[in-house]
Amino acid sequence: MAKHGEDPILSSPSVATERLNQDLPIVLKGRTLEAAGWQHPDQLTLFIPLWGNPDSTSPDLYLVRFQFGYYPEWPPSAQFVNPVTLKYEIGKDAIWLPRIEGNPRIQVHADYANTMRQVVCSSMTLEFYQVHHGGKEEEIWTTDHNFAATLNEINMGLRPSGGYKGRQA
Amino acid sequence: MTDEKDHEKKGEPIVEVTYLKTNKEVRFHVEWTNTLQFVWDKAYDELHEKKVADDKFECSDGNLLTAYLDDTLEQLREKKICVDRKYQIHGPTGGA
Repeated sequence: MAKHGEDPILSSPSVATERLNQDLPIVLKGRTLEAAGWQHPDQLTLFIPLWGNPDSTSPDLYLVRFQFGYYPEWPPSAQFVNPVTLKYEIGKDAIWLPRIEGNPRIQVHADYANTMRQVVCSSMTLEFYQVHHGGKEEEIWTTDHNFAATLNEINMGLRPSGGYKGRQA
Repeated sequence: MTDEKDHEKKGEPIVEVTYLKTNKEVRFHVEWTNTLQFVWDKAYDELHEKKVADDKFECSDGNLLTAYLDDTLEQLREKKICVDRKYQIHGPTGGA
């Protein structure tokens, strides 16, 4: 189970895959991967397109890569990536990061504390624990969560009511 | 006649609640005179989940409904608050 101040431990690939396959239909809410626009290039990776300011006439498209190597004891890794390269390069891909301000639940750091890594700063992402962010005990990820919690948290931050202010560049 | 048809005949509202921790969804009938607090409490029963101290009840657009928990659904309809009656339970998370 996730804990503040501890380094996340990799799951057995079979355990992570089994739990992801169990959770996928729940999170998809009856849709197929294709209908949802999600890509599942390998057993432990998903690419999910998301919209910033989704109810506006011109929403901003983002692509998030979820990786499940530590799942379900720890949350999935969540990284905004360039939709063309499917990677994130510091200094080059800031346009593919959303700017979220004033939301105590989530922020997106292009280069967290000069560590040369992007961190979607939320207790529902793996990176939050990898950088030993710290926080309240009641906010920790548990195995009662599934990756809907991660996806929903990011989606809420991409709404104006969640502090969404557009792209970072 | 089923309970559901009784409700429909009376024009009573249906509410939908999503549990953001897992995406579990429930849909159930209530009455216009029920408070939003009643809807929130009943949602846990329907979801087979337990309330956590820092859970928040929100409209599906993310707007917090704490200020309206004592209002009835009829009052909320008049105030045009979360008019589609799609709600979500947002568990404690932190970051930033």
